[in-house]
Amino acid sequence: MSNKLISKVSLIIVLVINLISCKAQQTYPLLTSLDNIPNMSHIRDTNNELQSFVGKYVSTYNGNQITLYITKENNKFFDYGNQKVYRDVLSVKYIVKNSSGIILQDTKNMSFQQDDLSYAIYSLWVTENGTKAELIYSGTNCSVGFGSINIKKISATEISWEYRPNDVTTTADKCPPNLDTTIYLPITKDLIFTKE
Amino acid sequence: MVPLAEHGKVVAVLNVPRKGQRVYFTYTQVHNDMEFFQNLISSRPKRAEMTLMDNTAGKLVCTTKTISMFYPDNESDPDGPGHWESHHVTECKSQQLESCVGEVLPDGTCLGGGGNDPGYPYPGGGGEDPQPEPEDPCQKTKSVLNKPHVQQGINNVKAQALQSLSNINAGETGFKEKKDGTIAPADVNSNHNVVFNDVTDSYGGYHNHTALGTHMFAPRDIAETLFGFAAAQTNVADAYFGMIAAEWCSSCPNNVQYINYMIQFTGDASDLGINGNYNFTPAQIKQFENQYLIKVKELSNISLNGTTYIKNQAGDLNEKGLEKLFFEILKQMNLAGKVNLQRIESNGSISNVTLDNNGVPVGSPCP
Repeated sequence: MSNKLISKVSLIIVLVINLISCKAQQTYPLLTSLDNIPNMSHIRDTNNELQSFVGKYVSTYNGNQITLYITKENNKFFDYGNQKVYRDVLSVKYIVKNSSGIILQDTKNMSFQQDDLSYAIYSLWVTENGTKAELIYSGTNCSVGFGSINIKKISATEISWEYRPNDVTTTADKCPPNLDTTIYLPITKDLIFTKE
Repeated sequence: MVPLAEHGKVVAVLNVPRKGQRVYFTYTQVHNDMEFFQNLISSRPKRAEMTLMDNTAGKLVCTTKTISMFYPDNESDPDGPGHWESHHVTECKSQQLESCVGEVLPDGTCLGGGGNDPGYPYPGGGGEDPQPEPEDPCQKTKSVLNKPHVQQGINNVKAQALQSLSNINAGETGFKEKKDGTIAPADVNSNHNVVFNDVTDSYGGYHNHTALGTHMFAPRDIAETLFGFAAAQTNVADAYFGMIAAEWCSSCPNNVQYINYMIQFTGDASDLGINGNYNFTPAQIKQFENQYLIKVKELSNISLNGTTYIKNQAGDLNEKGLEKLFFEILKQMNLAGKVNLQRIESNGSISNVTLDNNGVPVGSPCP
């Protein structure tokens, strides 16, 4: 009897804590400005728009073979410095090989540290009636190539790729010359990837 | 300084300092100066007699300070064994030189006085005060942009920006203005990356953002390149970094509009450098860059911001959008108010850009 009572009390406590934490950590749709939400908010895929982008896609560009591995990660924690949020995202990892099949860059088999944004591609939101995912890329070494990526569904098995890198300046102190700062992702738009 | 000699012996040195449009005549008998000229006059070096040390009823006052420092044998054990070293610093000042703004005669008598400025007009001064080092950002930027070699460098950067409009691989380029008066290209000028190996030998520089990228300074432009230049200046606010991008524009000459901005660091020198508050870690820089990317997406999203900050359907940021982005990023980097933004118009006029009370960027044209 007493065990049951303890379980009931525990359950009530857990529920109360959940209620409190739900109130503290509010939920917002994907298309939300960070300006308008409190720290530690949850930005959720409330319309279930991300799932349809998930898959393995391949394309070739300038002789290189690019494979994208798009997965969905729910409630991923992001530390942006002054602001921290949880966000449902598409995560894109990639392998770029040259025409001889030699790997130029592979983020698929890289172990990402928690909170480390290097090489990472994450989605923000989906527009155009759920067909266009808007993502941001943190760039390669020294952030070279950090920029915007858009992926648009054009059929059940094809997506169209657009990547616009930004421009970096730095010093040898901050970016040692021995690091590879080549951008291997295709800098182009309307590049078609096919789902495998 | 002019030596005054009697019978081949230097007895005084006449100083003629210029302050603005007036010059002042003061006689001094500073031992080192007299000895310098005495050695020039005489082929046989000899010491000038120092007569003022003991004359004129104490008109020359000398004070000697003894500074003793303890040197421990082991730096990591400051309380351990060691030794003391003492240094003596003697400083002599003529009381008349301190208080007399006119002529100080060799015997210390002051001939100036009456409260009037005892100076004489500087001949051939052209009627204007000599220009002091410009202090306000408008003057500073004007003087930078007026330098012919900087103009030449900017023209190269503009050409690169223009090229990137039609050639996706044109890439990025940059130059720095060295302290020796020359300009030098950046050490790495690649597709979307510019690296300056050494920023300590320069006042500042310029670079382009390509057509594909966002046409506003990004976190590394501020925290690594500008702050690198700034840390190498006596006055950190003297450093500058410029950015130029080209955009198609149907109503502009040759259908091209140049976006041209300059930034200066206006915070404290102590915040720069290895132990400074603004020496961000690579992870922090990534966070700021993610904020930058997110802010670009937010500002260009019609559902979130309408068309306030965009110039076309593709969502490219307009002037307000670019400037808003800059101030948002400064805020994220805890640099609000520490970096000055200037817009250089196509006719060469300069505006200081700030946020108004509603957080909207506004430009105040320089006089």
